[in-house]
Amino acid sequence: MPPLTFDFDRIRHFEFGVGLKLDEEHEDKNGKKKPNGKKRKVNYGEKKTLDFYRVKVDEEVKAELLNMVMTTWDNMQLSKWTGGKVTKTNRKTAVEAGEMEPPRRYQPSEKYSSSEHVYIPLDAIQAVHLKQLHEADGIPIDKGALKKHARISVYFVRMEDQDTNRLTAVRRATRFKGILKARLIQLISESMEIVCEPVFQLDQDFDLLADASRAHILRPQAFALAFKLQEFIMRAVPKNIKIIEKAMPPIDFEPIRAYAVEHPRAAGFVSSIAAQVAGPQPPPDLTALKAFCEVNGVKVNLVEESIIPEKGHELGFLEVLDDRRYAVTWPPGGARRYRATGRERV
Amino acid sequence: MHQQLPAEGMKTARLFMVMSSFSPLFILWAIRGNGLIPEHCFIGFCAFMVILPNLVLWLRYCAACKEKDTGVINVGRVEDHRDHLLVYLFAMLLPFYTADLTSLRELLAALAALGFVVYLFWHLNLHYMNIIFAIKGYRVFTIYPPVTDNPIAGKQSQVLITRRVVILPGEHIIAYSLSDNVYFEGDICHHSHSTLTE
Repeated sequence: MPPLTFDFDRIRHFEFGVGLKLDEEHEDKNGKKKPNGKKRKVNYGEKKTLDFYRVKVDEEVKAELLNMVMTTWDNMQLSKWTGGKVTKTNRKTAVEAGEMEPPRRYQPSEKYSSSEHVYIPLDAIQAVHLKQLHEADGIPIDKGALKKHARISVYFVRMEDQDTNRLTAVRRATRFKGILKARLIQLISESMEIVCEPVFQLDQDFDLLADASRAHILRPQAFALAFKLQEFIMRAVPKNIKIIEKAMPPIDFEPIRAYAVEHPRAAGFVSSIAAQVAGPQPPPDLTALKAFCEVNGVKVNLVEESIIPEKGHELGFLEVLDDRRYAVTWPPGGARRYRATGRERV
Repeated sequence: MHQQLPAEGMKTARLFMVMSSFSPLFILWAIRGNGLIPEHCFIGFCAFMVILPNLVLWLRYCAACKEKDTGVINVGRVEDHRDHLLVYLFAMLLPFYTADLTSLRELLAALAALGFVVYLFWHLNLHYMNIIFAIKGYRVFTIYPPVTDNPIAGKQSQVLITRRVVILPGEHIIAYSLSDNVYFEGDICHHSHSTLTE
């Protein structure tokens, strides 16, 4: 796995900030009336999903945040360790073992465990919001951003080294925000008193680290939630369908398009397939595809040199195209059909 | 959907920075003296108005160095604002210096006018109009960010106080932050600039 393109020994700029839910979205979720009773559309795609602000922090907080970044990188290696419990004695071996094994590319259609090291190129369409944050200059400073604690969705760190390499770390603000609701007490003089001021708690590590070329993701689900990937993927269905149509011209994608714009899971498959077929591809063998669909219980029709999934089989057809359907045919008693929620090329 | 820009922070520090830009006026007033107020009181007041704001400016400066409170400035368009210094000299220092302070009403009027100018400088973020910077060989540039379609990128202009003679579009500068939008690129901080991991 290529290491991070960043020199931790020569950091020359460090900034901390938070991503706040957009004003309108926050109001909508809190039951305030929408203007004219119409449903507001949330912008995504090339638009932003959160309001980002920088917040000044002192040296101690910076050092703590830097430790979090280091821990994140270590935990990414440890997430691949299969040698049992990580202890102080085997930690170094576990990290080194993780470094040897390259991470898989993030795919929106894949089901991931809570902590799993994957990567996504920063140029990928699913990483557009992260790329915006990574590359943005002059994010405004707002010393009052932490007071809007109900709106805090993520917190982030951005660093730059002497060679102008940039590193961005992002974490969903669950504990950071949640601690505000807890009743904390502290020892003042000789008695315990309730802490009235909001207290922010940093986590042990970040959800992802991004350098100039790729984002290393430790918690894929957190990445998807933080950058509202599902909404973005739903919005990107027409664009992704065009990419797939170009690569697979004999397939009629009109029913798929209509189905995917309504169903997030199908939209995830469309996004995943689009990422796989980008670039020149040999045309699909329709006869082989139809036969494979039949074995896997997906009903399709071959009409005038074009293949169309039957109504109710759109998702199954997308699973076939995304290599997520397979059948075991060798045992007697008929084919055993399976769906792969996670897959790895062997 | 436009992001609401937060109010400029460091209000007190900025006020003292504006006050420090009035130091030459108080020095001139102290030299001229005043017939109304006893000499030692008036000179003491002028000395206080020179020392305190500059001390606060210096402390802000040191704090930015100590905390490594830096900002990244990507240069899109640059304006050299040497003319601001002329405006500062002719529109502010000279009229106040020539004001007649021999009667109580004149003195109060001058102080009130000074208060309005201080408020305007503070409100318009002109706290970098400091003659000490000019004497030390620093120039003041207003830098506008490059035009980009990134919705997160800041659109506000930044002020950079630097010894550089020219700043070219496309340059990437990291400087110490005196306030939210005013940055200082000087050699004073260099000795204390170290990496975070040291």
